Amino acid sequence: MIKVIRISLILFCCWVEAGWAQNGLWASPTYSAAEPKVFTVEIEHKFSYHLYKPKNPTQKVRLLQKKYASMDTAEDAFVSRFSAVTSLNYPWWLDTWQARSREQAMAFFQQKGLDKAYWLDTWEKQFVGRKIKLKYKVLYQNYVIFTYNVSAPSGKEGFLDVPIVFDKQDKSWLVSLDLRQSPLLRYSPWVEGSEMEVIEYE
Amino acid sequence: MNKSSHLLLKLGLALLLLASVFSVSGKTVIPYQDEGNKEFTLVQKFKVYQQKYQDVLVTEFVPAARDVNNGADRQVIRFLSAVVKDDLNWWKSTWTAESLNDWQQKVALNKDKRLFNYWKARVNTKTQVQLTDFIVVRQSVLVGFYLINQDKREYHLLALALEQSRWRVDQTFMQSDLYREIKQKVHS
Repeated sequence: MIKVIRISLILFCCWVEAGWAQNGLWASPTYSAAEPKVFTVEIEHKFSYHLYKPKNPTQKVRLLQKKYASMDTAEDAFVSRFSAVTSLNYPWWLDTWQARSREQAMAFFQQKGLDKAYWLDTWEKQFVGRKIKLKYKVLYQNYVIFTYNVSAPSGKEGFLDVPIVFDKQDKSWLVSLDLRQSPLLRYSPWVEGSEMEVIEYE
Repeated sequence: MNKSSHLLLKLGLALLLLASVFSVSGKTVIPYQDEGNKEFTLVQKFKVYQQKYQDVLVTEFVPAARDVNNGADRQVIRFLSAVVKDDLNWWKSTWTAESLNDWQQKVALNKDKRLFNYWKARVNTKTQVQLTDFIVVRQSVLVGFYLINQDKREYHLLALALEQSRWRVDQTFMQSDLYREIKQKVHS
């Protein structure tokens, strides 16, 4: 089996190389055309945001029982979200989503087979008993982005800082996926303090 | 200040701090340092490969829907053939799933029919198609062509993406800044 894969890989590489040797591209015109000419297009996007850092960055977020929790402010909503997760309360977790984003998330999770049992298991392994620290608060357009860190089982800070986005609807702050494709969220420049990122695509 | 009032002040400050860090009656209050407004600039540089067609004039359209992959430019001819045939379903099948989803979500806007009518106003059995540009950028192909109706020539640039090994017209790409920049560069 491995051999077959290897051979097909070699064949594939040869084929790709032959293709590249012809005109250097993965797709070609089927009518008569001249050799390709290359030029570069530069696209610049500017993002403005407002940054806040917690005065006490080592302070862990205090989670709450459902009866004490609310969604009145973005901070309340953040606490509710992770209180739901760490108390393994799936229906509460569902309630912390913005309706449209919840639909998108559920469709995606269903496609990937990520059901309730998966989430409860994941939360139990990765959130219960861990320290959650809020590291940054960012205001961007009408959204509040929090970057948080979940500790390792040892209690030390986790290696990843993760963003979560909240949007206000009526009087509640709810988790939103609206910025899922926004480069600002993907680069979260406040974590490294970077002001510019240059990416070259071949 | 005597020692006891000093202690009281300290205790008061400690309580104030506790109250602000911890949740009090369900309210979470976190004291922040305001770092002010920040800017982040993302610069994306795309390599664009452009091939000029050499006197390619297509005068015959495809008579019926055939969903095969024999090149992005052939798919553009099928896209136009569906318009000539006045076959909305065939024409819609040449678009990416994402484009169709978008139209489905905004069904009240009638985007599909409006766009189809836009093309119907431009393409008929007598229209000639002069292919001019075949452009590759990352995972997309753009095909540039003139629609020639009598003496009138109008330039169009369609973006296509491969979806399950079939070329599909990609509305999302055609709404991007990258598309606008490329179109301006190749047709200005």
